[in-house]
Amino acid sequence: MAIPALFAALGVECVAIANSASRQTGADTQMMWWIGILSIFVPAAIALLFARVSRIEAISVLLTVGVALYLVKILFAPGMMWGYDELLHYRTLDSILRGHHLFTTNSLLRVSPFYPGLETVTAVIIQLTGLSPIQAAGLVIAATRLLTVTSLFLVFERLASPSRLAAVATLLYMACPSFLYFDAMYAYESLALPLAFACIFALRTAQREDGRLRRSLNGAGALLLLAVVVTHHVTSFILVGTLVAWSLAEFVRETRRESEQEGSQEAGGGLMRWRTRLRNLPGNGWVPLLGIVAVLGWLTTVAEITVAYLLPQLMSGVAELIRIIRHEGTSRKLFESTGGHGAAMLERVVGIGSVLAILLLIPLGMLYLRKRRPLSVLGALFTFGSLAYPATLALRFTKSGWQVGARLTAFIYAPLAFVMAAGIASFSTRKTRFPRLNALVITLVVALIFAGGIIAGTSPMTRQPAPYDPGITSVPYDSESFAAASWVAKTLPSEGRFAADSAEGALIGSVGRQWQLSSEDSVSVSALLLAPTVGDRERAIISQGRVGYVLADQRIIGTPPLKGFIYEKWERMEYDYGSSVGSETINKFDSLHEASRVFDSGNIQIFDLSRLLP
Amino acid sequence: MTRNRAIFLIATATAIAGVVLLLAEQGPVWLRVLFGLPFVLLLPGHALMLLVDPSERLGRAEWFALSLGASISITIFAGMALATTTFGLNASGMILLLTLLTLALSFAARAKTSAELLEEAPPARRNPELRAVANTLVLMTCVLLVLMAMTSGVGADGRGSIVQLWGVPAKSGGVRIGANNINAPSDSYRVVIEQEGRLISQQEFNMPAGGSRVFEIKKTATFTTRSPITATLADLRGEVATRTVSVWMNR
Repeated sequence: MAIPALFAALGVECVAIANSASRQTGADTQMMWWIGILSIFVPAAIALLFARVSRIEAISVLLTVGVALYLVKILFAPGMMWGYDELLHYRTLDSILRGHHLFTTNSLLRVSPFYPGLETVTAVIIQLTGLSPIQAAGLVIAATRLLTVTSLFLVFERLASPSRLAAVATLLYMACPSFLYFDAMYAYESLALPLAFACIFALRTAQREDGRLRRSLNGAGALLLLAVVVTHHVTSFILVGTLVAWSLAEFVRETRRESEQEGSQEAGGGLMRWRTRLRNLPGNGWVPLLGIVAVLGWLTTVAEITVAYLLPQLMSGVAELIRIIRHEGTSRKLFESTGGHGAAMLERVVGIGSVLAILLLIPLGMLYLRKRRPLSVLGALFTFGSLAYPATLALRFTKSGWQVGARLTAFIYAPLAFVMAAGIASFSTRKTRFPRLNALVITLVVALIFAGGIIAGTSPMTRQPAPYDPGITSVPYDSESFAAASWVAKTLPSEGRFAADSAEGALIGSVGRQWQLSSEDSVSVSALLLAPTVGDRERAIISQGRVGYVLADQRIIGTPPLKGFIYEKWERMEYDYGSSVGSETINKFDSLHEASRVFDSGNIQIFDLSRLLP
Repeated sequence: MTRNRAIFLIATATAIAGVVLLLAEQGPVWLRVLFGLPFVLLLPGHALMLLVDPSERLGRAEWFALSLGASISITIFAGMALATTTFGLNASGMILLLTLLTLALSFAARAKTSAELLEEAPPARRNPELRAVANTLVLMTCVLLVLMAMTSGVGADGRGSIVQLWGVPAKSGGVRIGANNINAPSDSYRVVIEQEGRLISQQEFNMPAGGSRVFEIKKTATFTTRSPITATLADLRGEVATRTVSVWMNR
């Protein structure tokens, strides 16, 4: 089993070389990057599908692939937090480290301080080891990656034997669009998700045990569940929802079994019956109940802001979907960025092919599980859960709902991977006259699903590092931007009210420790920064919004916003600037007498507007 | 390993790690990482697992997953509890709290052992697959070595080299003009500071990559911060694509 690890190492090497060339020169090294990625995945898939592997070897191979794919994320920008969501959580971490207390403020992600699980663990590691925040964050996420792979394998193993099916299901989970980058980022979901998997594993194992071990495992499951509740809102909702659905399904099955036994006159008394019913529930019934109480308690006493944060996103996606169904709205074009940049034909073919393969494997997997295995209740729930995948595909056609769909994939892929693995097992275990051809086809299908997942989860423009382009990149990871943000943190008073484009604003609000203004502060940043001159309206925005500083980035001039916007998503409703923003707009503060240009590094200028404030 | 020995080892390792971390709070990072990471990510959960599964009916993978998950969860709640106190989240408090929690879990596991009739110790596991695991671990180490090599290779390049110029009011009543060199190869620069066309200061200076200079212009009879102050920084060698940068204040 050393061969998959060797290929994984070579794959990581390929990705490193491809990224390095792309970062320095902007050269197109996508082919090399893909070779590296597939070198990590395909040999492992072949080993798990066809080689004689023991259980422990299968786990080793899965851990190798999981860690190698995490290294791909690291190699995007080594030693840096380059994901937009990472910077949002970095801000919360920084506040905890500086203030030593939780529940601080965060202008970039206001809900983040109220789910401090991830930042608390990281802060403890930083304080105890002396590592930098970026190093400690990298280690925490590496640990969560190990936990994800192991827990998921153990959950699948308890749903269906043999271990090979569980191993293939875990490998297929790595084809989830969010696995490569999003769930490897320093963000709360990256920790909450593996804790949720570990919780389900503990409760499922407890169900099959007796006596003290059962009670203790339920207790461990409860501990993990509570950790999820204080770490991430959506994961805690989905976990508790799963536990409730699992409990109800167990209850219904037990009641049905009792009525069958009544027919054969074997049923016990009323009290005995209830004891048996509760005994078969996950966590003996009290763990799901604790989950409901904990989630509601946390939402109403600590994180009241969560509803206001989540509801608008969900509602706009659903409303748009309804409009599309009624033919009242315009749908989102697949394989095209918001700014209209399309993917290559090969990517479209692979993307569509992978969706078709998944849609084909779902019924095949369901049939296989129905015919071959007496499924547990949780196994049956997972089987039905895989049907949520086609529903999320519908959200991909909506402009605001596709993000909701994309975020849900991390959860939906757990049941989906299980059913897909069963679908593949229905082929791989079949006796055929052409076993090698059969193996080749299965390998190609698995590779297709994996490649399709990456295509669905990443844009070709942002899959690899490249010289900073404010029209494409959501976070500037060039030295000039980082140096400007560091200067702001060192020189200006913290929590100064800043107006900047969304990319630089993420750095200024996190590394720079400033308050990045947004519509939540009733300040229209795009109206202020996109106006060609500073007139009465702009002066009123500065004065009423108490805008202390503005940042002007010369690189915005003439850059088409391929990601759809520069400042805010609705910026064209304020000013329609045509194909790109002009220089007079960016440089308008040069001619404003009350403004002081307090910082200049060539591309980035920072203006102090305090003399305009009342 | 017998259960009692495992409990003793966890308790001893926790105590040693706690003491080392307390004594080496400002010590070398490698030492603190060596003791700190297992102290946070392994020992609390492992102690809990000794309590949960005394007869080791669960396998190694199950122990690993639950130990890691429980360690993270215990650290989260310990950290949150400490953060709500007046002491706040601090290193010494966290070391003491995690040490106490892990030791308490170990003692609880030991107490259970004494109270219950111990099952016969399971036979030592001779696992022929350990060799395969070792192979994989060796190759994983190769991956990490590759990563370290690549990180040192790609970490510093391709991110541009720039100079910064800045100006902020000084506490003395004047202004502070600063220049920073962020990886720019040129080390010779000139800063010209003017007020309403009048030269206030002009200096040529060396500023190698990573270096910085600060000029403080004090408030005098001829220099007042009420009029515009303009500073311009120019690269004397012109070797790099750094453009001339300028700042101004109080116009």
